[in-house]
Amino acid sequence: MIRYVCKYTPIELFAGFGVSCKPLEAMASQYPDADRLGHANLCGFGKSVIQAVGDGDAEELVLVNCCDVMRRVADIARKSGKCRFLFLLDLPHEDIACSRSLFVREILRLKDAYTRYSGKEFSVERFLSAFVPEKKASGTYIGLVGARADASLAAFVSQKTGYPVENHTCLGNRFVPRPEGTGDAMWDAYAAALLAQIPCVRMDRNVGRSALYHDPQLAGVVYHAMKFCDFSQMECNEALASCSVPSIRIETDYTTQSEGQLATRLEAFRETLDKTKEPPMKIRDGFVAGIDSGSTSTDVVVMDQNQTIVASVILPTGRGARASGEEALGKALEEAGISRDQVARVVATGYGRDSFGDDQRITEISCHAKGAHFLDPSVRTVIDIGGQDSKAIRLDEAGGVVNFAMNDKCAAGTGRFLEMMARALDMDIDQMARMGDTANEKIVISSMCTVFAESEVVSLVAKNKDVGDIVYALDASVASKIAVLVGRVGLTEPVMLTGGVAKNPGVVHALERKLSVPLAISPYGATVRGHRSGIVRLGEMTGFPPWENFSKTAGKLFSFLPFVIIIRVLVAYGS
Amino acid sequence: MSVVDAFGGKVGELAVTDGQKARSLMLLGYVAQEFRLKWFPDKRLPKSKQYLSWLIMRYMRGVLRHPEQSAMTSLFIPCEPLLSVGYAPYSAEGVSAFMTGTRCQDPLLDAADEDPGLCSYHRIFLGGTRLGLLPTPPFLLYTNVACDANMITFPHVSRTYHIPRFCVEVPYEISQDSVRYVADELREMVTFIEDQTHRLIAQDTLRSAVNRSREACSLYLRYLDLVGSVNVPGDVTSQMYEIMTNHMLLGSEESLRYWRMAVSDYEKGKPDHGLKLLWIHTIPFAQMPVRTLLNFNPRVRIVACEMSYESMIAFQDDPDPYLAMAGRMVRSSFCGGVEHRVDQILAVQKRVHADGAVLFGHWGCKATLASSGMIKDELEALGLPCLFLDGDGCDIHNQSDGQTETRLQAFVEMLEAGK
Ligand code: SF4
Ligand code: SF4
Ligand code: SF4
Repeated sequence: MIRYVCKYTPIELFAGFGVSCKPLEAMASQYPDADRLGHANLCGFGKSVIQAVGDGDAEELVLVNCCDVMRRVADIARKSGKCRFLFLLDLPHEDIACSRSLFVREILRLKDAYTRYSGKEFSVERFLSAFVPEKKASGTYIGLVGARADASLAAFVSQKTGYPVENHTCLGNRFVPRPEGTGDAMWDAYAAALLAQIPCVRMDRNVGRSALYHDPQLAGVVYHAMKFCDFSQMECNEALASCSVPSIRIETDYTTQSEGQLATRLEAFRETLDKTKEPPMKIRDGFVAGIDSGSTSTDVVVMDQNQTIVASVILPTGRGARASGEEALGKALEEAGISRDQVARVVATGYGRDSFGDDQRITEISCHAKGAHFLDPSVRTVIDIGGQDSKAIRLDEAGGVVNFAMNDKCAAGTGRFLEMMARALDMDIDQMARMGDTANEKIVISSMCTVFAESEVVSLVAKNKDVGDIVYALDASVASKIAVLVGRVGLTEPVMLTGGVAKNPGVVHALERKLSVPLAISPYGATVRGHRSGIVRLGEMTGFPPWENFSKTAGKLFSFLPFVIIIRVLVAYGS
Repeated sequence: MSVVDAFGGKVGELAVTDGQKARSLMLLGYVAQEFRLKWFPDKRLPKSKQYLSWLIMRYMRGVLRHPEQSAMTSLFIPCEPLLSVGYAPYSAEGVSAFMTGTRCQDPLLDAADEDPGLCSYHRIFLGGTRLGLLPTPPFLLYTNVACDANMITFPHVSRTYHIPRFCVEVPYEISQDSVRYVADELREMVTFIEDQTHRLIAQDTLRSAVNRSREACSLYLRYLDLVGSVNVPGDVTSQMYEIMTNHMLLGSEESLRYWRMAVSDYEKGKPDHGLKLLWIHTIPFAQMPVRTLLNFNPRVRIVACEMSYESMIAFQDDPDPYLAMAGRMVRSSFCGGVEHRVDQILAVQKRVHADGAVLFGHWGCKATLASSGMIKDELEALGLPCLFLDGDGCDIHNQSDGQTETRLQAFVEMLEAGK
């Protein structure tokens, strides 16, 4: 059984030997040996191959000279001695005459190597009968492009977006027509057909790739950027800019670990896709409730049809999202003195939203957008720096999400990062927030990684550096991480800053310096998403733009400010 | 804060708002520096290295002043054809290293932040071009040696700024077939250059340039034979400049002149018993602990650097200039599998007899990072102690001075104890 990783692999050749081939690309949750044998900075796919070889799952392996990573993976596989047959197929970067001739040579070299290894006969008839017709998609679909995505990731995208997915990454769209002719001509045609496939992300000219973005059946594009895969990371912005349909970037490290975050992104994307499809609900009577189910606390707000907040409750998320949500909702209804029947709709957001019914869920991305829009309809970019997550969201004039980006798994650029640094400085987060607005000496905290930054901070303290200067540098480091997110969505003014960290003047000013724009600070901070989702839905349901009722509600909301600050500290800094 | 830091900071700051102005300021600084290096050179350096630092400064100044007479290249492109038409090759990696030396790299890195995992030499090149600190060249020449980064940034710059480009794709297999294949591509590259510059490349001119490369190469090998037993004081910046004489400037009169001078300095050098390091991959020459430990230190010195020898050590003479240039590319240390790279290290080690090797794991350089374990194991199995030092040649976000200092010093102590 030949294992292979790339659509440019001549798998029909092996059919000619009567041997079957199986792709090697399944994502796992981790690759424990690969960091040791390779390096932590390899793309996750490279690691997965190293792991498979080590586990003895790839005794006969055909790799391609796709990129720096694959070359080294081939070296490591060779050294491991675990492959009985290992071949690295050289693959040109372009589909031009001389590269085709090089590629023919490579295919024939592979054929010879396999004959020598296996002693098997090659049959042209078997080879020619191995070609299968192209599968064409019907109906609208989401195009999954960029770095390799395995079948499970494609299925996940499909599940979360509610559309069928066409996987256009590495092995997804392999199609090779049967070559004409005999002898040399047949091999030339075969090499040419292999190279003429829709070019993948590492191919030099992206013209063929951009055709993917103009299919009338295309409902949206999901670009998969893989950590440490420079081809996909670098191409992403350019590719998305050329799409005329809604598009979004997702990032993975080719493990199944990031599903939670991915789900949020994809569901928010689904909301963008559905925006035009879903008629607003018209409910003019009754109350609405919003639940923000966070990892630390669950907040519930109940509003009447005038968008007046009639109750609000905050409980720690103790017994699971669903139970805490129900409990908080129960308390809020009690506070409002109304019964559950009088609530026309309950909407849940936050990490625990999945515990609530399907029709009730809305991602915090859309909530943030609507909420910010509610507060100030002119806002076009929202930056939310929370305890675990940071995000940048670009809005259209109706408060819809045009584009958004979230931090990856690491803590850099979040409240958690500041919290850990505060601990390293032996102070609490409030003390820290009072410092760092000015600096006497310019210090650079160079490391983005929390662990390294912590040791940098410790050594700065040992060098007797001024704590205020260190905090200033830490704030700048958070700001530069956030600026990357903002850059991804495209900075459009006016910009509103929300989230717990918005209370930290040092970070706010660092961010203003970095982005060279003034930031409007949301008075509600991190946790009024519950309020917002209520507001949002109410606005949609009554068919009135929510800001018409703003002045009425604002007075009420402001009275929650001290309340909100407490929660903000709780949630944003993970108390 | 040193003058260089202050000047670099100013250039960087200005680059964010006005790239052209920043370039003029930088140019001014280079002119001043060129003057200083000509009339008040660093007396600690031997004549050859004094000449070298002035030469490189003058060269960079020339490129900045006359970008229309230059072409942006990847470091590993043979430059004899360009030199033959009087164009100055201006290598992305070399220029980025130079920007790092000027200390203005930070805003350039910021301007190319879509992929923080990409090699910082290439991010600086990209950021510098975006901000306009680096001039937009009339055309681009690049290759897949030594890494993918070329295959990413060059096409990107070409698409964004509509600059014509030519790629020399080197096959994986190290064979005479591959050399012939690349020689054909180089012939096409010459036609491309002729089209772009509207000048003809006379075969004789090209042949003389390749002859000069050949001569520089044999002088370089002679230097490797000498450097193991004698010492001439030096610094890491000169090591970095030698990368330029062995690439962008290879085939020029100046490069040849440098190696003649260097060999004569080493022929007069004093016998030396200090520690000798063979440096694998790029040198973070701007990083303080590296300078402190390795500049003018009689205790320890770098005797060979992979970035300088990668194509020279395997140089195979061929009367045909195209085959000679192609051979250099195909047999580069960075081509083929990791065994080839180790073989080249060993070939150099035979000449220089280093006490230890330092393998620098430049952040973002996947090819080297992923082979570091294999190279280290191989060398140590053959009795050459090897330090894996990770960091970044340009981006301070991926450097840790404390760690670098401790590791390098501990390695030196370890080697001394074993001597
Ligand atoms: S990126 Fe392209 S060349 Fe690389 S494995 Fe995927 S399909 Fe093959
Ligand atoms: S994901 Fe990117 S870096 Fe990894 S093997 Fe594929 S092309 Fe190479
Ligand atoms: S350091 Fe590595 S990735 Fe960067 S230019 Fe050099 S070879 Fe390429």
